[in-house]
Amino acid sequence: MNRLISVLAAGLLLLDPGGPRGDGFQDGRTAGVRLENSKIVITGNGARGGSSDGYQLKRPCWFEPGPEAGDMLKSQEDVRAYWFRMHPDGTEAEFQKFLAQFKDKIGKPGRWWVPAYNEADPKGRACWGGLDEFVWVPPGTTPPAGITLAELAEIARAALTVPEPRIKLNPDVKSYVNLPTWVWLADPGQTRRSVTASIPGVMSATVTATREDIKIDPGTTADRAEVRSDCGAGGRAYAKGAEFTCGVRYLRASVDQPRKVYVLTVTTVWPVEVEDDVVPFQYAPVQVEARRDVPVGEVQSTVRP
Amino acid sequence: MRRALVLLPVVLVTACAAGTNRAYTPRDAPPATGSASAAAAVKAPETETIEVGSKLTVRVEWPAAPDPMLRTFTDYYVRSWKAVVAADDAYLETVEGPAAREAYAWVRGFRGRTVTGVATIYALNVSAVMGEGAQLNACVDETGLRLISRRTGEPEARQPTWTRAAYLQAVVTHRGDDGLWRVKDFRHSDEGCDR
Repeated sequence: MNRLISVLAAGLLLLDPGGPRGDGFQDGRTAGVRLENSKIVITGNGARGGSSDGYQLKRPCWFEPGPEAGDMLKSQEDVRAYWFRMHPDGTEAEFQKFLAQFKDKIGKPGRWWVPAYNEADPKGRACWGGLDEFVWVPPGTTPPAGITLAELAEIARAALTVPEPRIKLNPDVKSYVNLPTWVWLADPGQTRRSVTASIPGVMSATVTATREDIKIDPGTTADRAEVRSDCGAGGRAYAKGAEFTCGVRYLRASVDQPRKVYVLTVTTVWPVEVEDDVVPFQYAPVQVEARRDVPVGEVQSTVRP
Repeated sequence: MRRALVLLPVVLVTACAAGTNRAYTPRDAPPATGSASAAAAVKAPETETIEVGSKLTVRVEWPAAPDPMLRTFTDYYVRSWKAVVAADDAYLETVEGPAAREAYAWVRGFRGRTVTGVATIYALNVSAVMGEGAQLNACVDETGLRLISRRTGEPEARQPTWTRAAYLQAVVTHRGDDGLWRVKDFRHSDEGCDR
């Protein structure tokens, strides 16, 4: 729509001729899914409101089912005037020759496939640029670079986000040598996130991530910190008198560390499955991490004789 | 779907437009697009000056050892100005697909007007290449241009916004079955070209 507006502005309203061509864009595209020229629909609670792990499609462009033969022919016939503008020396015979490739498909089984791409991928546009504008595909076949169920699942996987973890600690502000520092997640939220990518009426694939574990990195070496890793899906909230199974016991003070703190990292681990095993493929888990500074002091005691 | 319907006709129409190949070499330019000698001819950063018309100049600040593919960008850019100042349609040979319609509308938007001055292209780079497609980026500084009324021969009272700041122009390119690269789509950004 933006393009249509800009073309109208340049071509019809004659305001501000010249200047930049094309829609605006921002650099910094690294991950996620933003579909261009595509009919793929992405739904599910994992498609919004979280963090991506940077999963990238192996091929960020593809052909997908497009217009029927009759619709395609009509759209070409409708641009007759435009064709002659673009071909100042063109003849009626040449235009009819151009149309013949579309007339030829009327009544034949199959449909046109057209290219689409992931705008969020740094190579998405270049990939799309390399594909032909359309390809005729008989029923039951997939053209080279035509989207497959596996690739649809991959698009769902790339669109999958999970909540960013927020770390809770006890003690919260400052810990001490040999004192258990309990670790758990604040507001852990959903433990299942799913995304469905579908081409309506053609095929769909759903991937589901389930938070099963958290990993703790104390931000220092094993001789300075002892990690308890029986954490379950969300850590163990501090409870007086309960057994300490999830957290860190720091063995040395952090006074000699940069900024005089240990940087503790908690990573949530979300194994991913493809629903109904529509494709025999195992994805690496989604892993998202958060950090907290943990100042660790020494308890000073005075021994009186 | 609406977008596809809007764009598809253009794509098909312009695929034919690209079918006629006329070699074009700007005056004072290194050798033609894609040739090995183009890379050999420009190994260190250098500025190329191309006279598009009697009153319009395009300066290209080539990077050191430029990728010959970058010629696709500069060829289109120079030819599009030639269309504005001299009604030369050769730019249609450098575009296809969605870019053809946009390029056509861009040139058509100048009806009754022309430009004078100096435009500069710098920071040319190949952003990505995949198969027969690529994205090329370049900064375009048109602050040295002035929009002129053909009726009066005088500068328009209201000069366009692009005469006030440089911008980043990206082009998506495609190598056709004939081995030639053409611009297939455009993108732009207002950021990234300060200097």
